[in-house]
Formats: sequence, structure tokens, C-alpha cells
Amino acid sequence: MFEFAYMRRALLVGAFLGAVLPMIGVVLVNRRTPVLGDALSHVSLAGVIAGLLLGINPIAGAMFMSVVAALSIEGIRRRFPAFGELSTAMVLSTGIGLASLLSGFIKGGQGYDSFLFGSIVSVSNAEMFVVIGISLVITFVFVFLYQDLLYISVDPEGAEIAGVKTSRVNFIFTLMTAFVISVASRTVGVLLISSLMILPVACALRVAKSYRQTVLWSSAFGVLFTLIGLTLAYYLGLKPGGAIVLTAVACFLILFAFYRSE
Amino acid sequence: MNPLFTFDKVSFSYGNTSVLENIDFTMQEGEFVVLSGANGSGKSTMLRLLLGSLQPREGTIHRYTEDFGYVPQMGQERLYNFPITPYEMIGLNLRPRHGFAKKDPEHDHKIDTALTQVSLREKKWDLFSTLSGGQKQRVLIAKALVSNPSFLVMDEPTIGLDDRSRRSLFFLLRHFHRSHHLSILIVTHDIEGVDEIADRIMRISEGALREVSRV
Repeated sequence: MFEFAYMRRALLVGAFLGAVLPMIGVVLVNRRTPVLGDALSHVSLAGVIAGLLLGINPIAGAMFMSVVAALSIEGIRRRFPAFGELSTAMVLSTGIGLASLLSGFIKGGQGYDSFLFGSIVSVSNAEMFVVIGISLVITFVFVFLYQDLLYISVDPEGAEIAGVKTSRVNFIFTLMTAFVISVASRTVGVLLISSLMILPVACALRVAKSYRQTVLWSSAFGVLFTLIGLTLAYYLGLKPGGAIVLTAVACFLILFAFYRSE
Repeated sequence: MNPLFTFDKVSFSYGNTSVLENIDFTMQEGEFVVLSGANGSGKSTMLRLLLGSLQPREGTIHRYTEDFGYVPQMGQERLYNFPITPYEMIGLNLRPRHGFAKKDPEHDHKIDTALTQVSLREKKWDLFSTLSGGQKQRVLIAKALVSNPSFLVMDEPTIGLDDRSRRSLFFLLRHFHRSHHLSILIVTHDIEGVDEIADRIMRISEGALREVSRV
């Protein structure tokens, strides 16, 4: 399969997203806010459809809508500090409603399905460089904010007292999530992004013996699932997005059945 | 002696419900003070005012030091089930933060020292979630003390501890107070045992603060 340029691009893009999506997922699971990934991916779907209808790049549409949604979540969270997840649920509902409404105006053949379930094998060179660029930036920011994100996750009040700029760090993290979801919408598809954020983390939790190991294992599992899923999709003629996610599910079930963490 | 913090005629309300009225209180360096009261009496509000996460309706709060360690309430079963080791937990309070990649021998030494002080050196790489309640509390104390503060603030430190762990905790606190001259403020609804080692017991009731006389 390596003789085909589209497969080489798919494997490279898949490996980068497979590494980066679980990094975000580790923080979401640790903070117990995994719904944020779902909320932003559904809003990004509305952005994709809006982009298709307006004749602009659907990924740009997804990015714009995700960032607006991320800002809205932070804004609502500040107004209702005691109900952190309320803001996420409100934005999730808005995303579904908007996507549902706009999809009524979509005509056949506009590529809408490719954003629902992904179309990693049709990624262009330009899209590949966007994915690699954003993945590298997000990895750099994640490494830089690693301890602050961990502190806010385990003890938000203590982090604030210890001088961590919690609002700023939360805001940057939400933006990171919005960006990575936007670029991933084209490849794994908006309906499967959240799975690729969370399932590698679920597997890592079975084997990791520290937070650092959880991060490393999550990214390693993410890359592995993506590459195995793409290979299976190529040889068995399966949909790549679904093959990647079901590979992750199968691995989790195997770990759950045969590997018992302490 | 120098004051650590002062409450000067402080009042606080949640909406129309008054919680604290006209509180005057000063804690001095080197003191071991217990702030007690029933659930809902306002002691946690007083702690939040001291930490700066709430602002008074009236009056002023002067904090004369930023050199303090804070041990949060552990009984809430917050996010400690995620894999994290005592080494990683304690390292959160060290500066400068090194992000993901860098290892710092000086930080390692400080973490080892803090763990040794609470007799948990051998648990450095265990998962925090597998420790007993008393051991978890000691890790959180090590985390608060790793940057060598002169003032320790603890929120409900005895919640969820059995008698043996409580005695062990009080023994440890008395050791830090006497041998390291650590100033300690404990906010708790349950003063049993800690009243024997504290210098002063303060009690909040119906919005007012008064010192409990010792028998």
C-alpha cells in the first residue's frame, strides 16, 4: 500500500492525529469533561456544512465555528461557575441543532458525508501540511502547559492558590481542542473524533502506572489504532474512520478482558 | 511575633444570607490555630476569604505572607483516581515548572526530602489512588511543604481518616510545629485530638468568632 501517495499521506496524517487527539483526551478524561470533545465536534460539523453552503473551505468553517463555540463555553462557564458542564451541554445542543438545520439545505455530492465519517484517504498535500503543522503546535503547547493542565485537573483550587493562571490555561486548552477537532473533522470524521480522543486514554488507563505514562501510552495507542485501522481498511475495503475506531474498541476489550491493572 | 494575617471587621454574605458578621481575628507567626464550627457555620467561607477566592462584603483582610502551603479537603473524592504518583503530585508545587520532558535533580531531591519527612519515601512511585486515606493525607502535606513554606493551611484534614491515621497525622503536625517552627491553621468541624496540640481553638457560630476556653 506504500506505493500509493494517497496511502502514504493517510498514514502520516493518521499518525499525527493519532498522537495528538489522545493528548487532548487525557486532559478531558482527567478533568471529567469528556463531553467537550463531543460538543466541539458537533459544532464543527455545523461549521463544515456552513462552509459547504457558503462555498468556503469546510475546514475553515469548522475552525471558525469551533473557536466561537470554545469561547462560548468559557464565557458561559464563567457566568455559571457551579455548573461547569452546563455550558458544554448547551453548546453541544446548539451544534446538533444548527447542523441538523443547515443539512436541510445541502445538495447531494457536496462531500457532507466525508465529514461525518471521515475521508482520510482523500487528504490533499495542503491538508496534510495543515494537519502536521497544527499537530506540532498543539504538541508543543501541551508539553509546555503539561504541569499546569495536570494541576488544574487534580486540584483546581490548589492550582489557583499556587499561582497557576487557571482561566488562561483553560482558555488555551479549549482553543487547542477546537483547532485539533477542526482539522480532524476531514480525516476521522466529526462523529468519530471523540472516540479517538477517549478510547486510547481508556486503554492507557489499563496499563499506565503514572500520569506521564498515561500520556505516553495514550498517544502510542492512538498512533497504533490509526495505523492498524488504515491498514485493515486498505486490505479489506473498509471505511477508514470506522476501522480505526473499531480497532480501538477491540484493543480496549482485549485489555479489559486479559489485563488487570493494579 | 509578627502577624501572618488579620481579619479586620470582616462581614460576608451569600446573597441575602449573612454568614460572617464583624469578624476580628489575627494569627501570629509560630502559632498552631484550629478554626472550628458546625457544618454551614462559615468556617470554610472564612478559609476561602483568607485564600482570596472570596471577597468580604465589609471589612479588610491583610495577608502578610504569601509563603504558605495549602492542603485541600480530601474527602470530596475529587480527581485523584486518575493515575498519578506521589512523585508527580508533590512536583506540582515546585518552581520553575519544567513541563513534560525535563528532569531536574534538584526537584527530585526536594521531593525525596518531602516524602521522607512524612515517612513515605518508599511510596514515591506507587499510584496515589492505591494509598490509604492517612497516606494520601501525608502525601498532600508533603506537597504543601515541598517548597518549604513557613505557614501551613489545612482544610478538614481528618475527614475519612480512622483513629490510627488521625493520631499519626496529629503526631506529624506537632513535630512540624515544634521542630520546624511551622505555623499551622486547621479548619475542621471535628476538634477531637487536635485540641490537645493546638495553641488556640477558635469557634465560629451564628456568624461570630470566639476563642474556646481550654479546660
